[in-house]
Amino acid sequence: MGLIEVKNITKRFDDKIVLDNISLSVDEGDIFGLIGPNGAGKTTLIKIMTGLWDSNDGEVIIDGYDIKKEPLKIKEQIGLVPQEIALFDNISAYDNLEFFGYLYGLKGKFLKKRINEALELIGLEEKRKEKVGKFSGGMKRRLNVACAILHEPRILIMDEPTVGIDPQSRNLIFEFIRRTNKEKNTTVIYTSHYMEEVEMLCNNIFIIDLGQEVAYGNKKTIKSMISNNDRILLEVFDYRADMILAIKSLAGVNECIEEKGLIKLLVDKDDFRLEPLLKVIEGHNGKIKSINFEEPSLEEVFLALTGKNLRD
Amino acid sequence: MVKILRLTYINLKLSLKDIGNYLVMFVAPLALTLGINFIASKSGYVADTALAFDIRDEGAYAEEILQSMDINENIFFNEEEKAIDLLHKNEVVAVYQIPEDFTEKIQEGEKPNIKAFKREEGNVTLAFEMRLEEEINNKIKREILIKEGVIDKNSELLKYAARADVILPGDKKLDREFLLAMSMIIYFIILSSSTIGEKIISMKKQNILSRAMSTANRGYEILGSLCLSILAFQVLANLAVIFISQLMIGFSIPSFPIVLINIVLASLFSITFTMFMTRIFENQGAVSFAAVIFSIASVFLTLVASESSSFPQVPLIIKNLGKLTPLYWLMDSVENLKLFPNALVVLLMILALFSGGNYKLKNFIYRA
Repeated sequence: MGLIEVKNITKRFDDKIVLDNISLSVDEGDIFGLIGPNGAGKTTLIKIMTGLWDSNDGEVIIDGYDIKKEPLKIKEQIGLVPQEIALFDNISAYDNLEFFGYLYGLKGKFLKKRINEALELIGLEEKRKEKVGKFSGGMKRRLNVACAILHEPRILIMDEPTVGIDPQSRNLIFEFIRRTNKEKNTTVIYTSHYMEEVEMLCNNIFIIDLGQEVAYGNKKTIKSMISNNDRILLEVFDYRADMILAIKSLAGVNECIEEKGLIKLLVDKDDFRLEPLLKVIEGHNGKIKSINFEEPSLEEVFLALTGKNLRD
Repeated sequence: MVKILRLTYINLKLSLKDIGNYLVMFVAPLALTLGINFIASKSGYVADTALAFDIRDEGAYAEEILQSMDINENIFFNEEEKAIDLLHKNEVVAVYQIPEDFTEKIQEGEKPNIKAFKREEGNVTLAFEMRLEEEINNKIKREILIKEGVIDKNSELLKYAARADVILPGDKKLDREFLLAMSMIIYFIILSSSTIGEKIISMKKQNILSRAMSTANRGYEILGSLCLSILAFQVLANLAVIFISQLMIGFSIPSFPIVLINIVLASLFSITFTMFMTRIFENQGAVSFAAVIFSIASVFLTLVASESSSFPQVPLIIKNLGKLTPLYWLMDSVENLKLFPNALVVLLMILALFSGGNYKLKNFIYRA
């Protein structure tokens, strides 16, 4: 049983079903990706998981507590980074952190220590006294994250934390997620509609669209859902047409296309072996400059499963 | 409870760092109290405006009224020429001729006609004329009450009608400046409901409230601590206003508990009124507008209700409407230094607004 168990959650607004029988499980210490296009139901699911909204059916069990019955027990363990920036503009970064620190039940010297640590962690220690209204979008996003980690939550839920920010801020947030996950074993739920972010950070992924599960599992499992093929890109000098024919005849090679000196192969993961391919090239006096294996990206997985691009 | 107090502390700390709060809840009422007091003290000092009087009154009321208004100079008896001469010499701005039947008319319950000679039209004499009219009205009122047998000549009410200051049954005299300061404070507290409304809706818009709901605090703890911090700020700021006003103007505070209780009640009303308004209107502008309109209407209705004899043309129903506003009961409590039934009435209003404006924070945050 995972630290977080979402079981058959359904949410309706009037007659419209925005979450349809969603179930997932997140293990302690995992970085879990929740991905889907805008309006897919990610934020709704997050709000139900954090007790901000009630579901119509189903249950959310976190660390053995039911969110509907014992929401405070669960909220104590959660740090939520909301999609919208939730900060006071007219006060300083430090004051914002102090305010949320009090909401998390921190006080005194410990709170001060935690504020300083959080500011350092997100690279805003020099801006502590500046009013948030003067911050750039990226700095606000980072402070938005800092407010959620003051109480060192066991579970950090980040709802699209990198929307509209500069690369420097994005990298700082990624670095922070990896660090807190590694050093403190914090369980992270990361939602995004940027597939590359999730692909880079997360181990297990839940893809959602129109309130329904599209795919769920670890990255490899999800990718294998759309195809058993891998792509191989070969850069070869001094080859002849008969070499292409020989490659095509190899076991496990489903497709071989020659394009401007680059040979693209679509191969079956189970049947294909690399050694015979290298022998064929060598036998035809071809000289390999580079060889790359490519898995399908999550973007391609989403496209294959839903028929649309993630950012449509 | 400890949690609410801790959250109240941090909310109050943030409020204290917001200069806008000081402007609305401290600087504005203080400036207005001092400003209006300054203007009132200037315009109320009739002797500052040089005037002359030709008294032809065969009775004693003309002299009595001038005495009660502290006017002792340029008074002539049946010497119109001398008085007019001062006007020609530019030594006075107006000459008032008080007719022979002045006392007689008042005793008959009628208003006497007073002739005024002026060099030019203007409002320099307006304050004097208003005060004179008030004195005459009081005399007429007294005569009618005596005639009808409602009061005795020697009753306390006669003294009350003849004085500008308020005399309470317990012989406690209230400074007019104190009443002015308290009315400004109470008015500003009621008016500040627009600021409170803006604050709550802005916290909702800035997603602070929804984020606060994701922490291990209940909705009533979050909202309750916010309201308590506003109450604490208002009470502290307005006590500072009354004490600073006292120092600068020099009035005496007849009863600190009455002052404190009325400030607390006004603030509670203001907060619960805001909660009620934010429940009805989602829009920040609409809440502010409703609060400002209510404040202005309150002042008008309270004035009409408490000074009903000065507004004979206003229908009775409008006069009675004032009694539905907290301002009427709070000011009545301050003027008469009494808590019952005033505090109870305002408390009932607060309870009605509290139950009408009571909502789950979660519903408020996520209402479209």
